[in-house]
Amino acid sequence: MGAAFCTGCGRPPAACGGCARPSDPWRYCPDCGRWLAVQVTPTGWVGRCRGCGAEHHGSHQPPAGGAPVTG
Amino acid sequence: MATDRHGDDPISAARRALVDERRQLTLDELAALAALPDEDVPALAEAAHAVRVAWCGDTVEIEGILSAKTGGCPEDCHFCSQSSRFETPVKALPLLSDDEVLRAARETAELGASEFCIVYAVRGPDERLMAHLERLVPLVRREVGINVAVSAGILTEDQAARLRGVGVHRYNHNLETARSFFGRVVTTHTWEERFETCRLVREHGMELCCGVLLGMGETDEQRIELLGQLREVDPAEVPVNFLDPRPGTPLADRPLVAAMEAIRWIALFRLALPGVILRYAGGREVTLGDLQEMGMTAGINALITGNYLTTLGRSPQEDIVMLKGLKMPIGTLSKVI
Repeated sequence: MGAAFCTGCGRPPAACGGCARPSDPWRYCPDCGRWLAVQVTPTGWVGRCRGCGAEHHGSHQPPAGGAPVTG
Repeated sequence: MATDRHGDDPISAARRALVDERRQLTLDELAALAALPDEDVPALAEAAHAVRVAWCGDTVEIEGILSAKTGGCPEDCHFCSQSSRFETPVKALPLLSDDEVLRAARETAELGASEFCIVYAVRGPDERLMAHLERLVPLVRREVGINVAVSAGILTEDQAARLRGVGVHRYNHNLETARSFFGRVVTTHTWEERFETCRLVREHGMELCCGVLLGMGETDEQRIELLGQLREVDPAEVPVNFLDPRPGTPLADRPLVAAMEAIRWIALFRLALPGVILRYAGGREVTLGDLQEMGMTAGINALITGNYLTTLGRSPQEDIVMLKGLKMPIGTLSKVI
């Protein structure tokens, strides 16, 4: 199932063609589109949504051509 | 290519000066190498690698970095997503707890890193941040057993002495760019203020880590100027960053540095600063892509592994595989005097 909101800008997919970059952690919540408070560490990142409270995690840039490692 | 009185082309002459004669190149010689055509870049890289091995050996130093206070910075560095002056998706977060920093330091050590740099998005440390550092740095050293570097902006003489006193191994303070270009990308403090902090770091016995950021619109001449200015501050380490344009910043629409141009300048930094720890830093993945291995044989002898302050790097495992393939051992380095 696709995200309800773009993790790069927080807009719905209809309004954004996909601006999220592989070198960036998610900046906006895919569930509600609100801003995430993101802490990056050497081995990963965690983003806490200021809107719905969801917590999202990831690690590094995907290898070339690979899918983003997030959750 | 033209030849000199020995019949050497400029690249062979540079290699002979640095490897056989142990003579530093002049800025004019470096400018001539910067002007060579693109087809000469592989030979330039090969010469730089020979210089790196001759001056520094084949060891590679690994470091991890952590943003312990993200965003909300009052400065206006036009490349930075952490400035409070620009509308970027990077918002201010509170200072990390000691436990959070310790956890990241342990993760960094487990990656094989010998250096852990704790970074704060501030103009300079206030008394609260100094007290935090005076507690935290000895704690990380004791609990994790890793060299601790700090980056906390502009220092006073007293602050430099206090940081040295609690065991800061290296202090990071970047010149970023040439003095003649600095005012185009930062207006809230001066290049001279940065230079002065670099001087204080060395005067108080910490190793100076003084990085650059290429691709902000500076000319080749200004990059050569920067090399001369780096020689003046005499750093132990120079992290080489390539601009990864950040949304919302004044440099958001700048193009990436082309991959072969990046290789050329990595080589030139090695030829200009033969004994320095030359570290791969931010932007290497997006700028170099599949040519990251070539950079390791163009003068680089250290890298930041894993993620950066607010952006993601590639997996540390990819770096380990690369270094194994290149037969470059991982270890600690210090500047060759």
